[in-house]
Amino acid sequence: MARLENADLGLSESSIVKLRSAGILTVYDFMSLTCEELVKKTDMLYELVDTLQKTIVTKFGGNIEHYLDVYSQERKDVISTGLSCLDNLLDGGFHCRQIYEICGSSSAGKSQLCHWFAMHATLNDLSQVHYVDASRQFFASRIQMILDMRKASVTDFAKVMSAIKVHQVHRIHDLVSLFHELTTTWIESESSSNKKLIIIDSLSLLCAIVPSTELTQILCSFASICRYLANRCRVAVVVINRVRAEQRDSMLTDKSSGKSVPLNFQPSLGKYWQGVPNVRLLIDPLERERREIRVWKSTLLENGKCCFVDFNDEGILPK
Amino acid sequence: MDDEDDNVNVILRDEGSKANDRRKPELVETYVQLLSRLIQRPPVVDLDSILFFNELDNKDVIEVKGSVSSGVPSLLVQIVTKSILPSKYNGLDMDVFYINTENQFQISAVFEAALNEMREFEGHSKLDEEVKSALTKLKMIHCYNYYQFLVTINNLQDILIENKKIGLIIIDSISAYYWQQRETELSYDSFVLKLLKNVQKSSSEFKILTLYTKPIDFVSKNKSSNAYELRNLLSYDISLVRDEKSNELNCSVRYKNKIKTLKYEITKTKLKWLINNS
Repeated sequence: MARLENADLGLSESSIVKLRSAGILTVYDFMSLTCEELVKKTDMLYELVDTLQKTIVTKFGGNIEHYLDVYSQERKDVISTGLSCLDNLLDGGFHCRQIYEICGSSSAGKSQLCHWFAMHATLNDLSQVHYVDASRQFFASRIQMILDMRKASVTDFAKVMSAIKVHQVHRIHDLVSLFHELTTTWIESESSSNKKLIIIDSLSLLCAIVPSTELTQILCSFASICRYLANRCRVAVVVINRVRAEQRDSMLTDKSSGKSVPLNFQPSLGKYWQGVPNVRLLIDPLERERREIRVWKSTLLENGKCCFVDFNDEGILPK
Repeated sequence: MDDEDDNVNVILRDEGSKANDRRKPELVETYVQLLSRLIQRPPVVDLDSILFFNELDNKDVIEVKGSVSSGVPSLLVQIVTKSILPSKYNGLDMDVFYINTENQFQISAVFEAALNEMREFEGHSKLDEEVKSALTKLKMIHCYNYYQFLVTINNLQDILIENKKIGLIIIDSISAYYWQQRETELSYDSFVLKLLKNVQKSSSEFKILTLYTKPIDFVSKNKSSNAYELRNLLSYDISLVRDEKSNELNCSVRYKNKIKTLKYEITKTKLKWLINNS
């Protein structure tokens, strides 16, 4: 919590000394006492103490928002996934101010989906897609291939590639710093009023080297900045995560392929993270190139509802 | 008390009321106590008679905990909608102060739910303006870190004085920043109790119903005196659970020593109570 002398409250040196000698060091120490208690403890003027508390609330506390504006924006700020069936599942597409998580086992097609979302969003005139490539799975050539198969023009390819900003990030701390940077830039440049998409492929990979004792604390900080960015800057955040078998002994061997398939999946990253995304989708490989995408957890969408898509050279097609 | 203290938020009463009584006046009521007595907060008794089976009082504290996908946000949407709707639509016509720490609440869901409720009374006539007017009763603050949350709670008294129609405070969720303050090594229950006491400084004074949410597993393993104190502070303890195998939804409501269980469904705009097994 900000110390009073660093909080830019216009406090004189003598006031800071008085407060310090009364054991009031931080903004929160100051706010946890009533005006009367502060006057008694520090001998400061009642009016000064009252004004300071009001300044602190404006500067550090939450502000009541006007919800009519928020409501009309909520309905407008939707980014299509480029798949009509998935858009139907998600009530129109990715909604800004929301965190989406796409879970799936290895080779389920999570990164392919990310390429598709990024490409489609920019083709639909979304000016900014930020692609956090932690898995080093982003290939511009894959996007070019899809666009070539669809006979898109060079202009379209240029438009797509110039709008997708790829960030090579290897540590969760770097991701937190990147989010802080983006928030500051967007708020200062007033581009917080345009809707945006951020894709993180993948969060589980970024957290793989974090000691388990520190994971929840780091994820808690990441969740905070993620929510702030999503709300303040009109961003939809898509996070990729792996799944893990709930119990080691609950594996089933698929006779046709000989592969072991977990019976009960759980998203990785632990219990704390389970409650963070607003919507969790599960992508499940079926026969050949077909995938099932299912609503796994959502506050408002119908859980368990699913759609089917086919992956091929042309990209992803709804079935 | 010194005479110059007269201007410091106190109401003084001349005990004797005789013209020449020179005894020192006695402090009987603070400024906040006076305001809390004068401001009539809207009654909450009709919020949900099935869920709150032993009636609700304005000073009650409600804990709502749920597993993932058990419908906690839907229950909150239902409670907010009922609270803000005008009485002609069977609502409580009061303001709700919502501290949103986990960003799971969507205003569009309240809009849909309110529209749905109104249509039961008015058919399909144009109700958008009435819904929008009801939405202005929802006062929401987003918090993004622990200290912002603490400052907001400490400012609650001023918020409640300025907004006289607030009858319900919702904190969704109270546990959001537990992991940001771990250096103090508070147990889960002690953390909740500490924050709740802070909220209650204002909410109980103003007789305002308080509801908070937390994950179902956010409970201390070792039962300390704080755990018992927290339990005694609660009027209603509500648990929403989805059975992962059968997908069945069960709600357990504890009021003092009475427990009621309910089965429910999650519809697009609310929780629908199915059976009352009490």
